[in-house]
Amino acid sequence: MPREIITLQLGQCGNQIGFEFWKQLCAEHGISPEGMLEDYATEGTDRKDVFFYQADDDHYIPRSVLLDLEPRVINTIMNSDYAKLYNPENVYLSKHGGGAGNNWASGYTQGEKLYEEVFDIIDREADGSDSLEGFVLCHSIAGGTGSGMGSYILERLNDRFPKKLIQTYSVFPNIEEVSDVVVQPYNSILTLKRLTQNADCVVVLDNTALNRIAADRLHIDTPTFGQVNQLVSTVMSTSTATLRYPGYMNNDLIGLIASLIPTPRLHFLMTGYTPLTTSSQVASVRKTTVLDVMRRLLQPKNMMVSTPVQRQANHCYISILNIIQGEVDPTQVHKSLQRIRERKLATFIPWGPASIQVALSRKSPYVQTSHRVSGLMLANHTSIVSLFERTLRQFDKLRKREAFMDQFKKERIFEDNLDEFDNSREVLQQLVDEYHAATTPGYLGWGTSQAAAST
Amino acid sequence: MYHEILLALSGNTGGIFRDKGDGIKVIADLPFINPSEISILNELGKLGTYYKHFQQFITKYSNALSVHHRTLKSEEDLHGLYLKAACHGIDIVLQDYRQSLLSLEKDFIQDPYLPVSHLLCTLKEYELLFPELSAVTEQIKSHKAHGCYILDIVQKRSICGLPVVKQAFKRILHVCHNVFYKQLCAWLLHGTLVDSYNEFIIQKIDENSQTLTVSKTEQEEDDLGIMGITGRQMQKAMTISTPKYVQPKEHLYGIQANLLPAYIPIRVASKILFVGESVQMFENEKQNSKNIVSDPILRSRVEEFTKDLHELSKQEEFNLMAFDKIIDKIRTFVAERLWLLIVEESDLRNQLKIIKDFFLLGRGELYLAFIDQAQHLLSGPATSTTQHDINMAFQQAARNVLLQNESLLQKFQLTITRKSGSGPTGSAVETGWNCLGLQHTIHWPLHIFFTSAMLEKYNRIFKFLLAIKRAQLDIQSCWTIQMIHKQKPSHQEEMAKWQLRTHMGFLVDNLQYYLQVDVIESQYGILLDKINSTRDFEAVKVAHENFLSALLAQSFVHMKSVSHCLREILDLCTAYSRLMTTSDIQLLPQQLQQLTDIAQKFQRQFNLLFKILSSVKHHNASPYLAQLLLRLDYNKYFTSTGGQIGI
Repeated sequence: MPREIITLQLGQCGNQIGFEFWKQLCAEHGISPEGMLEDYATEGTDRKDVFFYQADDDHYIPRSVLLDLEPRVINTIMNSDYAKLYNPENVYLSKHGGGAGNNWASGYTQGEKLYEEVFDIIDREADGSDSLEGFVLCHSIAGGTGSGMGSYILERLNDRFPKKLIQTYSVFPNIEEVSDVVVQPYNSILTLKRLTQNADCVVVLDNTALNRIAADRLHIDTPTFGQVNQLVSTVMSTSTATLRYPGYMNNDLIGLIASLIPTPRLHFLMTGYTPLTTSSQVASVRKTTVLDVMRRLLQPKNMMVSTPVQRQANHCYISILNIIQGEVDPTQVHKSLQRIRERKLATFIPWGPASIQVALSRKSPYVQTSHRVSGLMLANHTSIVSLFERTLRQFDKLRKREAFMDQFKKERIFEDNLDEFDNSREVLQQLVDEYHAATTPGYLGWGTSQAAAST
Repeated sequence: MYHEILLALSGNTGGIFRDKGDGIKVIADLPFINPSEISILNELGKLGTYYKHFQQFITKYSNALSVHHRTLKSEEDLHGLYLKAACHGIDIVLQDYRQSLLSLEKDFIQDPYLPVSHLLCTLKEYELLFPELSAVTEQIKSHKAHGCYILDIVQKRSICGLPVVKQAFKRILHVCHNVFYKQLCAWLLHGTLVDSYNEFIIQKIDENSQTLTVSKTEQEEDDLGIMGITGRQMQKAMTISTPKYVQPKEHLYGIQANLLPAYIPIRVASKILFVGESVQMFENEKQNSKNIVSDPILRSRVEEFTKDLHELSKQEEFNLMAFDKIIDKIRTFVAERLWLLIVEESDLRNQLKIIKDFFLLGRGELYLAFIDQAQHLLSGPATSTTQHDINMAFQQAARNVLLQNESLLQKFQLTITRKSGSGPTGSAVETGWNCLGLQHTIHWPLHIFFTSAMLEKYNRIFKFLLAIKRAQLDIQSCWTIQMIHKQKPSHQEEMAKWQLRTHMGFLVDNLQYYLQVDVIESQYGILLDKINSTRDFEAVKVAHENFLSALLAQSFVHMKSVSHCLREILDLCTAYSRLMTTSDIQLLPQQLQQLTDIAQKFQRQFNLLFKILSSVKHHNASPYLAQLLLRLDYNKYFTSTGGQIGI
């Protein structure tokens, strides 16, 4: 009984990163774009069945549901080499094809309307798995479909599959470029409420940081979508490596994330990856050791979340999981841990035990990399709060002016009042407060004293 | 008169010479003998006495083989091939003496006026030799010297400044060595012990005498140093832990310390033991198994080695250097051949991988599936059908994780060992999980590598690892419950409840990371490096034994205090999980009491564990305790709270 995972791709962004993700998975498992196993990959001991299932004609089909309200990205996918990979019944495109107009409320309302059709697909997919472990949702929080419809689906997934895990890969907007979506802060805050309340684990993919990394680390002046998405797919595939390449630990999603998330709401994870190269770049193969990898993973510049350096706040790690692939000398792991502690390269929470967990994972034999060792870090770090604070500030600015409210008021959820905004803001504010509290030794008492005060 | 003397010299008495019990002497008061001659004649008489004794010795013992062996008397009486050889050797030496007497007789016939002193002069050298020779025969008799020990006695005597004596003993030794080489040859090249009188330096060991010999050789054994493990040590391990598992085919052999001549170092003897044992093991097993994979391991070079040994046996003098060299050559060849057989042909690496995957939970996903499948079978006490059921569950689990290799699966068998006769009290009924074990069938020739004793050790680690895995899954299932309730906890109790889960989860996760990465992966890496870097079977075997003992030590299986502590903690995790999954989010007072109970016990055990770990942190003897501590106390949280859990 494989612990299957169903991937839901929502909106343009979600489908784009989802597309890259499946490309990567196919390459790693030796599955052709048509879904057939390549001749060289028949002997593998990898577990394709977590993310794929086999159709009667031996095709490997992704356990993936593609949803969008406008056809552009999905059409691109359906016109690509990988068109035959997906189960066509799992591709859902709204009939009017007009999109959500970058409006959360529109996406949410359309989600409500399409509930039956969408959940028919999801239910069928869930029924097709032996022991479904959970869902992975790919979306962006700033647009319309991924954020709005995504929010709606998150809520409903919680109702329908209360015991299944929900992990999201959520793309946060780039703050450094002027966005054409002016209501981004509205969309973000409304989505973040659902991510806080309805998801079990949110892997934050910060477009700001991804672009910075692409520019700085890969020496590309203006990184393309494709290059940024490649970074994302690397993160996604590596973070699921232990599920797909069986090892001694972390063979299910819960095992992967449970240790990272000691308290239910602080479930927003940062990622870091090293070494980073683009496919075109023939990297100078440097000698990389476990310590090198682990040390570099702790450097802010390798983190895929951009957090301003705040000297006054003593942000800290709540937990760290490093997934290290390649030729690793296991005896080095302990030494590296020791060295990192001696040099105080990472600050941890003061209110409970925390450590760096290191999982050694196999990697695909079919994808050649120029590096001996590579590593992904999944970290629960309190500085992620700066992302939320930024969103709150931008939201407040807009909200004060009641800017662009008309589009939202058109939708049913905001027909009567704008309480949903205030409510979402409050949820996010509480999250921010909780993250701040988590940097202090008194965190464990914080929740209860707050609750006591409010009653 | 001269003939009378010559007869006396050949040990016979007559009119003039008499033996009154104190040796052959001239009868006193014979008128025609000058007193000065008497002393000379008595000197000669002594030689005659010696000669007579030698003759008696030879006649007594050289034919004593068939008559005495395997009778009760044989315990006391001397017998054996070596003794016979020694007799023969002595006889050869005496042949010279007899030759001298013959030529003396000729001399006397030619010249009747030769003085007696001519005799004395000619036989002077035997006056030196005979007492020594006599000392040897006396020693053999008094020490009840047996087998190779005779070699030792003779060899010691041959270290002598007198060329005559030295030469004579060398010749005797050479004769004796012929026997030795024959036995050695049979042992080394064919693995058979041609030794009906138990004389060879290698002996079959029966259970009761073994402990004795072990203790005797133990000390020398330890000096081996780099040579590492010998068959002896392996046997020790085998007999100590599982005498009953020893299959009838596997005879135990050991170096017989009291037979080992001092001039053959124990180091060389161990090599001899190893070679013979290995050869034998493979020859014997092959006859009995249909699985004929390879040629006799020595075939290609057996002639060469026979020739070498033969050459060596022809040499007058025993040359330890050359001997050692040949033994070494054979050993190296055998060890390499075995290495090839085990590591290359039987694919040891793959077998180790399988062992790691199954016993050491390398296939985490398999056990994940298995625990799911078997949970309802094993959470209660085991019944007679449980074993069958869980094996079905295991295979089902394996199929679910796409483990297609049926033949491999067939080799693994889960077992339920129920504590029999617990009596009607049945105080604590063991759950099925606690009785679960894993068995593995290993085929020729890898069975010599993975003895049942070793598999039993693997099994112990397996049980421990599985217990941790289960605790981990239990705690994780509680995490799901915790995550469903995302709103802030309203009570202190609830916070404490989930905090306990976090602590348990943290401990179990880190324990598992420690075991899997710091212990198993690390040691496994070391083992593989070793296997790849050598072509010597014995070295590989040593490495594997080290691997296993490191695993046992570092997983605290041997450390009572720690392992007890950990077991308690794991049990508490299960208890906690059971409470959480059966209760509502709001605990009833009774359940709350249970929870407090669990929390307190956990607190206590953890505190204890932390203290043990920190107290031995600086000990160099157990650096791995510090490794676990590093993981548990990575952010020095427990140091700051003094091992207390902030609940």
